Amino acid sequence: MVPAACVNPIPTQAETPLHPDLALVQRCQQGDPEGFRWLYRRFQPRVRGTLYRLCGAVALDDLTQEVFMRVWRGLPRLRQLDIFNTWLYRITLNVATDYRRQCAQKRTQMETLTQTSPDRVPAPDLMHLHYEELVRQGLETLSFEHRTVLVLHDLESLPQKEISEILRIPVGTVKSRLFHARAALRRHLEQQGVTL
Amino acid sequence: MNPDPLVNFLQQYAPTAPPPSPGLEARILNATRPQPRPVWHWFPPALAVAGLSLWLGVASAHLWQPSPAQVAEMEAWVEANWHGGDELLPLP
Repeated sequence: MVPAACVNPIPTQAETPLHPDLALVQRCQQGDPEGFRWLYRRFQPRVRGTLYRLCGAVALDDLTQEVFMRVWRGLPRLRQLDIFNTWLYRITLNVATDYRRQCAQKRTQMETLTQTSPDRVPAPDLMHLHYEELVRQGLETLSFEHRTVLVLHDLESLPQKEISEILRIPVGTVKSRLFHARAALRRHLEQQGVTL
Repeated sequence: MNPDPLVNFLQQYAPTAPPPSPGLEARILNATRPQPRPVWHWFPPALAVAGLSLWLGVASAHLWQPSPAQVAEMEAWVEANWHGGDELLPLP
């Protein structure tokens, strides 16, 4: 039996002029106990996808938890609801950066771990799986800065301006990193026999 | 559809994150649920406040002494309001 409060987690437009996502954030700020559950369910795939593409699968659950814990702690201090998306991505990238910094300190252990991807989603066919692996390997060849911009722009489809706000860098730098990241990735894929 | 074939290729074959472990949501929600404050967080301050209040009460009772004028005033009030006889009650 689903409680009535859970059936319609997001307030309707009549109740609030805010975008439903932002209304959900507002509910969390007002201490609605169910609000954070829905916030998690709404944004978890996006956060998780970004973390996976930046850090791999090894510590994905822990990193996801860390992001949402930081969101929970930071929400009461978030004044501008309309920047929630940017804020969430910034937290996600901070968690990813911290993780990669820790990994760099114990690289030898992590290299062994990242070679194993324990819970892969079954791919529809072998060719798809092969290409997906090539993209994954290609992303790993990029520097973290280039990889971040490429993931946010080409895979998460964020506009360059928002990426510049998330990373706190000029738009020109975003463009430059994107250009170099794409070039490196194109080279990698072509070396692996992919014709683009 | 993006005009750049590389971007199309990336979007088509982007690595997808494995599903979260079944307990992750509960783990996160438990961690964010407000926990009752442990007794050692609130008991010492509460004890300090209670002790201070008691000390102030006792100290003020001990320190306050009526002035001679106040004593005279109290005696006058008792005289004026005394409705009993002049004799003392007989001892049982």
